[in-house]
Amino acid sequence: MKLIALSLSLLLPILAAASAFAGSRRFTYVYEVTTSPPGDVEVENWITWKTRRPDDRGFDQVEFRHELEFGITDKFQAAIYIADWNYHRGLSTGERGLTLSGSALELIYDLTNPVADSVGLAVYQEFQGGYRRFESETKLLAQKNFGKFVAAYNATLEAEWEGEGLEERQGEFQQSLGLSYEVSPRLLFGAEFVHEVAFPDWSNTERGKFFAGPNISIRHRTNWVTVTALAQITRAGDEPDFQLRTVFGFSF
Amino acid sequence: MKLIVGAAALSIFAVIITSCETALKSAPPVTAAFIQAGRREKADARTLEAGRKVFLNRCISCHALPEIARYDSARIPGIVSWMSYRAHLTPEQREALVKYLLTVRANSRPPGT
Ligand code: HEC
Repeated sequence: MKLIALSLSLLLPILAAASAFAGSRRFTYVYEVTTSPPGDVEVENWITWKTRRPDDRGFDQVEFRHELEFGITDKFQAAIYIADWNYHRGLSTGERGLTLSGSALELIYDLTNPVADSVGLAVYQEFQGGYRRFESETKLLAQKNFGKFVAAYNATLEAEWEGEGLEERQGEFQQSLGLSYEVSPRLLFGAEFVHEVAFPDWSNTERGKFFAGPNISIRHRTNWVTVTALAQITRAGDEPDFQLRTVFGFSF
Repeated sequence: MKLIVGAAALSIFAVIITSCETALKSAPPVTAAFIQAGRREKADARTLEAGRKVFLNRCISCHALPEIARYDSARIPGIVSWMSYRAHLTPEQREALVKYLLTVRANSRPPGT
């Protein structure tokens, strides 16, 4: 654990220094269709705080993600999640402490433009690996810009393999919708909605879970930060009642 | 669930109604009349097409496409160099974009002014 903390504390300043600011995000749960321009390297840092599960009132988890994004062509972007790690406490999480959950590769390819075409579309593929864990996430991203108003929709199919021989399988279907209004290029407001259905073992279907809440995005010079607060609308016992996600990019 | 489906259906409906109109207004396509109205910029169709492509691809990731007609022509090159660092433009892309935007500006003026 100390090793992880140490390597992260060495890594963070390097990431911060390499930071640029291509696509300032409007949303934190929903992905947009627009990709980074070729040659651009950008660092994004994510912090998600999840608290209180209906089944575990003492639950608290803070998740961190450090992402390096590369624009490769006008339509193609790759990103590496250098590290996903979290601090957790509560009955349902076992011992309190830090966990490194893995690293990932993400690829986004644009198909159409959200302004010029009747709907902007992109495909997204992510592979994530960790200790006795492998995950694949495939998304279809759709977006339409109407002047200062943007609507974005993601449909995600997630497959997860876990355990010693990766024999535990689970699938999940997720949809998310984001709406955002630009008050000025420096200040945007919006809302995000997330709906998830899990398929444990790929056979039975669990009840759907639904989350919704407002977001805000602020840009100052070459720095930006976007924050979303999501409340659970359903009462799923193993999901947080409240979560707050902040994604930011900055440079010196 | 119903809420999401409803909202998605509503957005798709809104898309169909407004899509063509918004892109055409802020980023007019390069037609013969468009080139003619901006002939003072001495830009050919290929440069203007390239400039429009840069505008539509690189200037939408952080904010709405700016309404260039609102800006004085003298300010346009300055705005483009101000933003080109953020949009990672090459000198050629920058030049094509300036020409396209100046032509958009020229087209937005009523005839005879
Ligand atoms: C990486 C994000 C980003 C990209 C890409 C970007 N801009 Fe901007 N733009 C901003 C921000 C942020 C502001 C607000 C002013 C500031 O903070 O500098 C702004 C402001 C503007 C304004 C002034 C709006 C006003 O207040 O009147 C114009 C015009 C503009 N941008 C045009 C463009 C053009 C043209 C492009 C494409 C070459 C572009 N922008 C690409 C982030 C971006």
